[in-house]
Amino acid sequence: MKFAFFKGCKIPYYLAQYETSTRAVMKPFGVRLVDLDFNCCGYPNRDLYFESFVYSAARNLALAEKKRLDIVTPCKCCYGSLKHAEHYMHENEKLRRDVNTVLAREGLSWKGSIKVHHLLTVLCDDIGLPAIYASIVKPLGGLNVAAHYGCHALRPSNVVHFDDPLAPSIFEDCISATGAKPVDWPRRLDCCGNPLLGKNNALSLSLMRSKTSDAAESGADCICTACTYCQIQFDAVQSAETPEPNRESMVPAILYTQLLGLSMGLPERSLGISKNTLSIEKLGPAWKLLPGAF
Amino acid sequence: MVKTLLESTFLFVCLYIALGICAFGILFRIVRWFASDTGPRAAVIPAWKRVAAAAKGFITTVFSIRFFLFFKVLFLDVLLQTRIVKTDLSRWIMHICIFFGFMLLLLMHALDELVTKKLFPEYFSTLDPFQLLRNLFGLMVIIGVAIAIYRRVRHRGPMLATRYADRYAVIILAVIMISGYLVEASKIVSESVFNRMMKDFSSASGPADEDAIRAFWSSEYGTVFADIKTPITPDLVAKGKQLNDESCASCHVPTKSAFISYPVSRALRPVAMPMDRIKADVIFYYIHVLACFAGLAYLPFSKFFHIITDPLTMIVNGMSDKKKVNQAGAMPRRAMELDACTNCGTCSRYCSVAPVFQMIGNEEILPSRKISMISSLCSGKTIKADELREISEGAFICTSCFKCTEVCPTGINLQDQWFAQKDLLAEKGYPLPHVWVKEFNASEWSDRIRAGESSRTRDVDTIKGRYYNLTADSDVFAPCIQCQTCTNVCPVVAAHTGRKDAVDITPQKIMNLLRLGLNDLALGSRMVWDCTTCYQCQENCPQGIPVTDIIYELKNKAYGKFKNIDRTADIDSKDDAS
Repeated sequence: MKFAFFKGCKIPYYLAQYETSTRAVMKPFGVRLVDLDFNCCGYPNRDLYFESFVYSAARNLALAEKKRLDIVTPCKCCYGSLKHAEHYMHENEKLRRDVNTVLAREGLSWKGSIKVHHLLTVLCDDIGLPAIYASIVKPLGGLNVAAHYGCHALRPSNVVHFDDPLAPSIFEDCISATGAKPVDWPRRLDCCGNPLLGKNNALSLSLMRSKTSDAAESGADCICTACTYCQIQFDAVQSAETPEPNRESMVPAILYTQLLGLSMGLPERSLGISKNTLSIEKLGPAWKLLPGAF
Repeated sequence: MVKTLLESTFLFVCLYIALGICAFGILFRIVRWFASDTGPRAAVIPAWKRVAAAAKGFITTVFSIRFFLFFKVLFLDVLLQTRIVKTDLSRWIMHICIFFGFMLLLLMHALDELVTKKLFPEYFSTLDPFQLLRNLFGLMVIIGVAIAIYRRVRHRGPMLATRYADRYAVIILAVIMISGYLVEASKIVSESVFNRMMKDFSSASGPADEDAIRAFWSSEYGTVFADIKTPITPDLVAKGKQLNDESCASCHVPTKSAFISYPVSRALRPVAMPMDRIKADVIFYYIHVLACFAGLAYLPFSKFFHIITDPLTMIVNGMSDKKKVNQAGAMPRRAMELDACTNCGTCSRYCSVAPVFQMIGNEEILPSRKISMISSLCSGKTIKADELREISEGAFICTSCFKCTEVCPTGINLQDQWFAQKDLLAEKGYPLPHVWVKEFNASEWSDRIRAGESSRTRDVDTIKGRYYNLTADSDVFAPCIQCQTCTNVCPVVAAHTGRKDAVDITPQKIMNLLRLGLNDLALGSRMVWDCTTCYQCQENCPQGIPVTDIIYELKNKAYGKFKNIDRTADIDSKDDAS
């Protein structure tokens, strides 16, 4: 299997461990991730200019199309944005014509011949859960994990086609494969708050805290993410914005690729767990019970 | 032969004036690094704190293990310019040609008395390998300049804007190089130069010998004589060669080894006589030397200042952590970086949001453009409000992806420049749209829209979406049954608990406003601008109304209207007056 790897804007500089851990867990399954000269997925610009959002995303789709490669992205916002652009390009003929005219200036065009995947769907559908179960050498028994779905991959379901929007299970299935126990928590489908960071910090943090406290109350040792922005929110932002008296109540976040990589026995060098801002020792006793823990 | 530079009082004076201006200019610009307010909260960081921070950074680096990075940066980045080759081979060839060609000419040729003579005591400018190398180095510079011109024509446009400074740099280099070749070529053909040399150095003992040397120089070395009395025979040339070997060859190799100047001199043959009469070689020499002095004097104010700032920037940024920024030390560093930018356009080529520029045409999105706007922002010049709006829009479209910083051949910490620019703009009252929108509430915005529209004709294009028009299409929102499901599932509505920050208009009320045709009242609402775009409302709507997409469209439309409204205007007093 070969995919164009869409990292998005934040991974290379802010979350390099997401790239290294993704590559590390994909490699044993024979998945090749190819780098193309992608630009921004368009999502940050959607608030202000619809056309430039569609064009940014469509340009990425066209770049992958030129190489005849499906796209896989580990970021749910990028995924949602690319899927939305795909949807609009299919739906609106005038838009398609205009965007293709601009794309043609650099010899590109969008025909809709490739698919956009999220990392989790590649793991669950293309590689398949049986293969993942078979690859686990150090099951993470005793670890309670709260799966944070991330909005933009899940909704609107008629555009993103990710999983059942009201009762999804793909993330829990993937977590179960590692031997960890997915916890049932009421706010698992809610927003992490990151889209409002810098725009309305108080609200952004309040959304985040409602989730972390819900995860803690539900008995989760950590929140597991499969999205660049969600991870940044629960890791770097939670750490930076939690005042001293409340620091004990922080819930650490771990990327799904890191969790899977741990259970596959992959080395820390590629998983980069120590690069996460919130130290994983916060997982407490559960963490120490893990085989192969630090 | 023209007397060496230092025997001409005029050129001697010119040289010292040029050196003086250059030294003063460099000093002036360096002092300005510490005085420029290149970041936020400049008032609380006085110049002495900046000097102290820079000095502290310098000392701690020199006495740390990181100091060894210095040699790596110096060798790989400064001398071999590996940062350029990473992104663009043709630009690397261009830059290596100009840099090494010019530097070697400077050391070997311009400073021959100080450098070459010391290293090679038998140095003479008309001996090989010096004559050959001089032509070679000059050729390198000319090839580099040709590539530069080609690139600027081939890639012209906003991504690689060619400005006065770029034209000047290319022109001054071309003038220096071409005039240099012309000096050499016009000396080769010149009879009077030949005669002067004969007088000074020849051991020829009579007219016959002189004729033989003339015959040899005329046929082999390309000198053009007004008249040679005796016919040039092979015997005469052979005799001339013998005499040449005795008296000239010790400090004059065949002119053909000047492999550019010699062909040029062949081309000049038809006009050699009149040129010799007006002493063209002296004229070209003056042009050549004065152009060099002009380049030297203007260096600190031209693009060539990057000869100093670029190595400094590469060393400072190559040895420090780009993520950890000390604000006091960052001020002068940013100012230095602004001087180091050569406007090469690499950043814009790799910019992640450059496609947005393709669509909306705001050049302030492009990093290469932004960096020159930061210079104006920091210089304290007054910038008009509409220009600031454009700058702010460009600045906040940046997604801080770090790509430009990674590819910048000079190693400028562009990411930090953008962060500082955003903070500066916020200080000036031009923050992120989501922030300035909150200066007014929904109904105040609605009033402002009306006040603005009465004085201006309605711009239909910005109001009507070109591809979708969800907010004006009653088929889209009319099915709303006001069941409040959207409001109940909205995390933003739930999170606003206090009275002060409560959401003004809930999603279901937005649908209601649309049905009433009161779209303007929804545009500036907190609900619209605080929407996390989580799509809960849309997914859960029993009537299948695309609530989130409507909110997105409202944001688009609101921004289209709001950005042209003067936020400082006092509309209440206007109402009173009317």
